[in-house]
Amino acid sequence: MSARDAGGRPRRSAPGRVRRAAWHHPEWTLALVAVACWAVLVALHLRGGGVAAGPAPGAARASANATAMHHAAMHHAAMHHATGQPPEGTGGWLAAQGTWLLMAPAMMLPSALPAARHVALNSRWRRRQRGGAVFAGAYLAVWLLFGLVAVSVARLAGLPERAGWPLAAALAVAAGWELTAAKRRCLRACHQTLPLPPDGWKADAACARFGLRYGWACLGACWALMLAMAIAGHASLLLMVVLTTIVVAEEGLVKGTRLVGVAALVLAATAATVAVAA
Amino acid sequence: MADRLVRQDVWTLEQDQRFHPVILAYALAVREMRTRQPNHPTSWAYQTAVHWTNEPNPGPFFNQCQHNTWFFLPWHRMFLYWFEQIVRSVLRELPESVLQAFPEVDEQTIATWALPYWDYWDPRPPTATQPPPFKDSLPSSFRATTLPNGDPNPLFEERRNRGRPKKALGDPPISPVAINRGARLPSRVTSPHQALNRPLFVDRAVGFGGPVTSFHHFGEDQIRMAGALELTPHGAVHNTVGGRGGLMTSLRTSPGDPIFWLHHANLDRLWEVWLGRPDPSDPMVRTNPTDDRWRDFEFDFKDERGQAVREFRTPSEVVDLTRLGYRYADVSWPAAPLPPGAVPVPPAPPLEAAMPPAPPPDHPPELVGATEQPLELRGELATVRFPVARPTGPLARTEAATPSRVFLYLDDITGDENPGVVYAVYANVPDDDDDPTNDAHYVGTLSFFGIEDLRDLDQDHAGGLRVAYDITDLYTRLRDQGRWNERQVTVTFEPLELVPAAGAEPGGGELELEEEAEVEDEAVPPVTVGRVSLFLQ
Repeated sequence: MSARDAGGRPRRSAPGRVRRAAWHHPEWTLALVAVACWAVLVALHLRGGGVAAGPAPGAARASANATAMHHAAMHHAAMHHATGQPPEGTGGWLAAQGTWLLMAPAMMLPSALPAARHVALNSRWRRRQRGGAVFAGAYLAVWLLFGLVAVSVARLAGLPERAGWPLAAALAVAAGWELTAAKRRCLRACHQTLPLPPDGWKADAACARFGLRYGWACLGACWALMLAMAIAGHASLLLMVVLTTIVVAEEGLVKGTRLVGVAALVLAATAATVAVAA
Repeated sequence: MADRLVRQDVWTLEQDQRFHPVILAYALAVREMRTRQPNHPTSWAYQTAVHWTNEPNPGPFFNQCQHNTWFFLPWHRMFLYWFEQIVRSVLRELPESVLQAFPEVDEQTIATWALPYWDYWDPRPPTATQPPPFKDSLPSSFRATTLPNGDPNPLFEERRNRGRPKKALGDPPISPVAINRGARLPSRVTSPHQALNRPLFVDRAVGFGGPVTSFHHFGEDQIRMAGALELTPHGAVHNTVGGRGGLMTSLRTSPGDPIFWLHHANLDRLWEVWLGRPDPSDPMVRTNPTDDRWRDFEFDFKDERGQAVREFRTPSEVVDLTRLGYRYADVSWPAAPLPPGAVPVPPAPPLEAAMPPAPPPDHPPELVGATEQPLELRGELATVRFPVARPTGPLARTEAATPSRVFLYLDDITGDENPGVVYAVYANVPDDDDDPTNDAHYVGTLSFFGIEDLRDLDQDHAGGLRVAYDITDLYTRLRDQGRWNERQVTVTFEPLELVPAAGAEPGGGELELEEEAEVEDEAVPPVTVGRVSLFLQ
C-alpha cells in the first residue's frame, strides 16, 4: 500500500515524479533537442572556432567600457582574428548553413513546445512522440528553408565582413516590425490549432500540416529577428539569448501581443549597441 | 453595520407587481444611462465597451471581459458590482420631473436598490401548461414595449431570439416561439445542475470555474475551454435569448441588452449556491482557488465618479459578499427536473453530494478514439461515429485497467457567425432507440458564445473553441449494464428549440411587430466541429 499525502494522492518517489512529468509533458524530448543544440553552440563558442561562419559584426574598435553585447561582439571579432581565416566560398556557405542548423532549433523550438505538447496530448498514447516529432519537423523545415535562403542571400550580397551595420540595420528592421499590425496578427495566428485525426497517415499529415501552419505564422512573427541572426551568423550567444527570450515571451505568453512595445525597445537598443560597436 | 442589500429574484418581483418599483427603477436608470456621453463611465455605451469593444488600443478600462478562464466568475462579479454602484448613483441623480412621473420609485427604492437576478431554472417539463408564469421565460417587464405610463420601455430589446424561421409559418403569422412573446428556454439551456455538480473550481478537464490562465479576454490561449458554469447555463442562455444576430448572442453587444445584467447576477448567485453546498461541515464543501495567481490578479474599473477603483478589483477582494454589501434572496440548491405530471417538491441535494470524489489519477487522460473528418452542424439533428481502441498508456497498466474518469471532447469548433442555435449532445444512443435524444444518454449542452470573434486576428483571439464533458457517470452506468460499446462511440447533436409559450400569461405577447411575420426561412449558418474525441483517464 503506498503512502499518501494530505490531499489523498499517492506520495511519489523521485523516479515516480520524473515519470509523471514525462506523462504530462511529452514534449520533453523536443526540449532536449533544443538544449542539445544550445550545448553544441556554446561548446563551439568556447572552443573559439568550429562551424562558426558568415560575416561577423566588426567590433574590433570596441571600447573597454562597452556593454556586454559589445564585449560579445568583440569576442567574435577576436575569434576570427585568432583563426585568421574568415570562411569564404562554398566551405563558408556550408559552415554558415551548419550553424543555422543548430541555431534554428535552439532559438525556435522553445516557443513551439506548448504547441508540440498540444499535439502529443491529443494523439494516441503510442503516437505521442511521433506526433510531436512530425509537428516539430514540419515546423523546423520552415525555418531551415528560411535559413537556406536568408544565409545564402546574405553571403551573395557580399556584406562587409567587418562591418556591424548590416546587423544593426536588420535589428532596427526587427524593432520596426514589432510595431506593425501584421506582427500582432502573426503572433495571434501562432495560437491557432488544427483538428488531429487519431491514427494512420491522416494523423501524420495533420501533424505535419499543423507544423507547417504554425511555422508559417511563426515565420511571419519572427522573420526579422531571424534575418538578423542570418546576417550575424554565429555573431553572439548573447544576441541569441536576447532574441530567443523575445520569441519565447511573445509566442509563449497568453498576452504576448502586449510585449511588442518592450520587444521593439530591446531590439532598438541592441541595434544601437551593435551600430556603436561597429 | 448596515444591513446588506438584497439582490432579488426578478420573477418574485414580477409576481408581486408588474413593473415592480425595483424593476421600474432599473428601467429609468437604463434610459438615463443611454443619454449620457459614451466616454463617461455612467453611460450605457461605456459599460458595454468595458466588456468588449473593437476600438483599437482602447486602454486598460475597456475590452476587459474574462472568458474561458478561472477569472470568469470574479471578473463578472466586479463588473456587476461597479455597474450596480453606477446604477444607484444614476438613480440618485434622476431629475425631479422623472421621479414625479414615476412615484413608485421612491427614496426607499433608490436607497436599497440592488440588481435583481433572473433565475431561469424552472423544473417543470416543456409539456406543462400551468401555472404560468414560467421562470425560464423572459420576465414580462423585459418583454413589454412600453412602460406603465406609455413611454417606450428601455428594458425591451427587439434584437432577441425570434425562434427558428420555419416555426414562423402558419397561423398566427407572428412566431409563437419568439423569446419576446414569452417562449420558454429549453431546460438543457437553463439547467445549472451539471455545473453545480462539478466538485472542483479548477480541474484539468472541466472545472466549475474555468481553466487556469493569465489575463484571458476570450481566446488568447491555445486551450479555449470554458468552465462548466460558463458553458451552461451562461453561454447557452446568451445564445438562446439572443438567437441569430441578437444582442445577447455576441460578446460585443451582449451588455447592451438590459437582461444581460440579470443573467450574470444569476451566474454570480450560482457561484454562491455552489460554494454553499451542501453545508460547511461537509468534506465535500466547495472552495475557491487559494492560488495567489488567482487571488491577487488586478483588474481595472472606473466608479460612478469616473475614478479608477482602488478596491474590489482582485478576486480575493470579492469572494466574500459581506464585504461587498449585498446578498442573494435565495441561494438554495435548485430543484431537480420534474417529469411530466409531477408536482414541485422542496429542493434537496442529490445523494452523490455526500460522496467525496476520488482524486484524479496521476496520468493524463488518454485519447482512445476520435473522428477523422470535421462535422458541420447546420441546425439539424446530426450524428457522428468513430472507432475506439483500448488504452495503451499508464491506464492499461493499472490493476483494473478501468478508467476512473471519461471525457468527451469537442475540438476546434469554428464558425463565421454564431447561428444562435444551441445543441444538446448525446452519447451512444442505441441505433434501435426510437428517440435519438434519449435523456439517459445526455452528455451536455453545446453553445457557441463568442465564436464569431475567434477568426478575427485583429482581435486578441484566434482559433477554435474547445468543449469538454465529463461523461464518467454515463460511461459507468452503461458499462455496468453491459451497454457500453467498447469498439465504437456514437455522438448525437440535437438542436434545441424554444418551447412554445403554451399557457403563458395573457398579454405575454405584447409585441405588435408585424414585420416579424416576414422572417424568411433562412439556412442556419454552419458551425464546424473539428474533432469529436473520447479520452479515458
